[in-house]
Amino acid sequence: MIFLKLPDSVSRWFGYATVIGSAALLVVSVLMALTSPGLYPSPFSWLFGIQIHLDSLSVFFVLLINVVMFAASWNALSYLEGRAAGSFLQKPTVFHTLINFFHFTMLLVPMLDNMVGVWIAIELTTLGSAFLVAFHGRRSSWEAAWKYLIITSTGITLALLGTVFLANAIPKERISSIAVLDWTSLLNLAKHGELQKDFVWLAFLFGLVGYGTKAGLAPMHTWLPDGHGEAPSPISALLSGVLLKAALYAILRFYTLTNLVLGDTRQTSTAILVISLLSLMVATPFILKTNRFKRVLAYHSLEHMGIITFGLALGGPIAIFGALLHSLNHAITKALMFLAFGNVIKQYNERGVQEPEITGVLKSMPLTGGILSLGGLALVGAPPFNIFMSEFIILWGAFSKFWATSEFSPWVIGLAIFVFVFSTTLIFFGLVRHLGKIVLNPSPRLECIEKFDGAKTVPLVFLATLMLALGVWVFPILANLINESIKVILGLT
Amino acid sequence: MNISDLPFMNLILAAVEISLLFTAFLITTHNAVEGAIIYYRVQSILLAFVTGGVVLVSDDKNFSFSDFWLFISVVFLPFVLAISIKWLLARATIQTLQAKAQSPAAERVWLQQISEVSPWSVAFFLGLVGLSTAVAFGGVLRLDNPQIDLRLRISLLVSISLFLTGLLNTASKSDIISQVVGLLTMDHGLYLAVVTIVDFQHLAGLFILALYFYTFITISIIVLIVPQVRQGANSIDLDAIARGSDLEG
Repeated sequence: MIFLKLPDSVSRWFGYATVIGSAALLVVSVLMALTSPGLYPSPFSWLFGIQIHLDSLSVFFVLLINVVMFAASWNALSYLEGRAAGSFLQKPTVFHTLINFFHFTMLLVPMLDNMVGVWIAIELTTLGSAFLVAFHGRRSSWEAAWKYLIITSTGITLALLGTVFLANAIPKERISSIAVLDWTSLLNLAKHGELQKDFVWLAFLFGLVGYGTKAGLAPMHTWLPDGHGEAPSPISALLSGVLLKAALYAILRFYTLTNLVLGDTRQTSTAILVISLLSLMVATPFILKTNRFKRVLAYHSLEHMGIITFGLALGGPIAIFGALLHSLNHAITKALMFLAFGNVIKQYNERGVQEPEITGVLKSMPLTGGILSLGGLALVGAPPFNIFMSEFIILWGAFSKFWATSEFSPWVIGLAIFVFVFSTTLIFFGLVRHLGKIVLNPSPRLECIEKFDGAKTVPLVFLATLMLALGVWVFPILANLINESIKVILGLT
Repeated sequence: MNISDLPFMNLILAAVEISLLFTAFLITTHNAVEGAIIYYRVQSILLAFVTGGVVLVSDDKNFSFSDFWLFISVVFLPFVLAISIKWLLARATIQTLQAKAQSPAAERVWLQQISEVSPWSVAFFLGLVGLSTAVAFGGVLRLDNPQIDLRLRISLLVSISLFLTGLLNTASKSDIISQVVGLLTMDHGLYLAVVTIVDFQHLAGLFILALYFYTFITISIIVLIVPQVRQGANSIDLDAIARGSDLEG
């Protein structure tokens, strides 16, 4: 109740503190990325004996989370400005509290060593984010929050059942404390062939479907369009850019363990390939049809999660490099799109214009419209942007598998490449059509309405700069971090 | 005399576990929300009996203080859910502000709800139990390790069955209360799996902690989000909610 009594100035300062905190964490994660993996802090005990542990893969995901959170928290300052708080949940202070809690729980996911701890952290992300999805308090917002909770809660229980099976794969004589479910301990047992194969495979399947639900992979993706579409734009950016990747991180851990225990990647790769191609195929018609733009962007996230898992399914250093790079690129670009379009919606709504009448953005808001156009081109994989780079690397990995002996026959890889290229091509035209309407179609009701506002512009410029830079050059620090992460994924550390 | 020396205790626990399947069957096939809630409460009490019993017959010969706390923690959650679920659901679906303080008035709204049950629900239920049997007894995944004894296989069968039938109810029932009951039935399946399948002395506590988190979040849904969804559509029926919804495409 204390939130109801706080004056606006306090909530504004809370917002500034959130941005400063996010910036500080971003700097720390960049410094971690600069550090050699051998110098990461040793595991140390935290709550209930669960340890904090960092390896290269964790640092990569921590970096990804903090990049998007920094931009989203800054953008939230302008997003909340001038909004009337009708209910408790719409108070800016409540928003900032929830977004910080959401950020904290997402950071816990890659930092916790214990696999049950990872599950708890992912489950806790639901609590904060569900109320943020319902922030607007509209009927549709509550329905979206309901769907989000029901579907992801259902999925996440599958993941816990998977973790139960993983625990049962450990020989009884090896179990002496909860630390046996730490990643480091499980890795050691897997390398020595001490985990029971059947239970590990069962654990992987449940983990893939369970965490796959949270990662927005088909056919468990149905919460994506509602959740992303109804949430405030900074939250949509976090959901799409970060939350999906946090769940992907958990899948990667199961993937590594299972491959080590089974001795090859055939089974895991096949399961992931099926889900990835299904995600690509399911996303395509929804992007082609007429829809609200935020929902189109949500379906686009489904497509990109399909692309990331496509790279993972193919396996091998090249494709996995592409998949990890694509995770970061998608997070940056999708966050940029949601934040930029959020600015557009706010400006137009204040003048009584609602979707689908939002058109002519390039004329009415030249800077935001320009960034939105560049982001859209990047998102569909046009050169010379970052998404093109990572998609190209993934395809390169696919073709290298086509010619080499691998777990898949050339026919399977050829078919997979065809589905990949065909669906991304269709999606290219679909998104360009949607974006063209918003950006280029004449707007009869509005002239230029954009005024320079640091809170609105700086996060967009920050993300757009990263998007452009990563399109032409994968920084050596980042390349090194990804290479080290690949070693973790392949169980070579 | 140690209770674990009693050979029939395991048999009794296995029999009660099997009876959990019957409650799951009744929840799945009953069309009135009120009936489903009653069977859910019975299931919770039976689950508390099984989980408490498992702690009592565990291999540890001396029943220590930590075992006592473990016993309390495994029995507490299903027992509290059995007692409180009806009140929580009533509170979440109250019709008017005046009814807020009057539980009977609130109950009328949702107790009268009849959720459509698919004529295929019996077949689906049997199919899911069949699938669980195949997983637990090796037909699907060839769990042919001799270390996996009959007791564990029965627990695995019942856990997976409860979990899958909860999933079936969440996906197929036509009102939001039945969806919540489906989620909580899945929670029962997980709870049973944690207590009966994983190592009890060292790992069960951590999983139980995870399930407390899960239940806390599910209850939060009930208390905070269900009333908002119901007020928006003036119904708990999913079709009615979908009719006036903007969430399409």
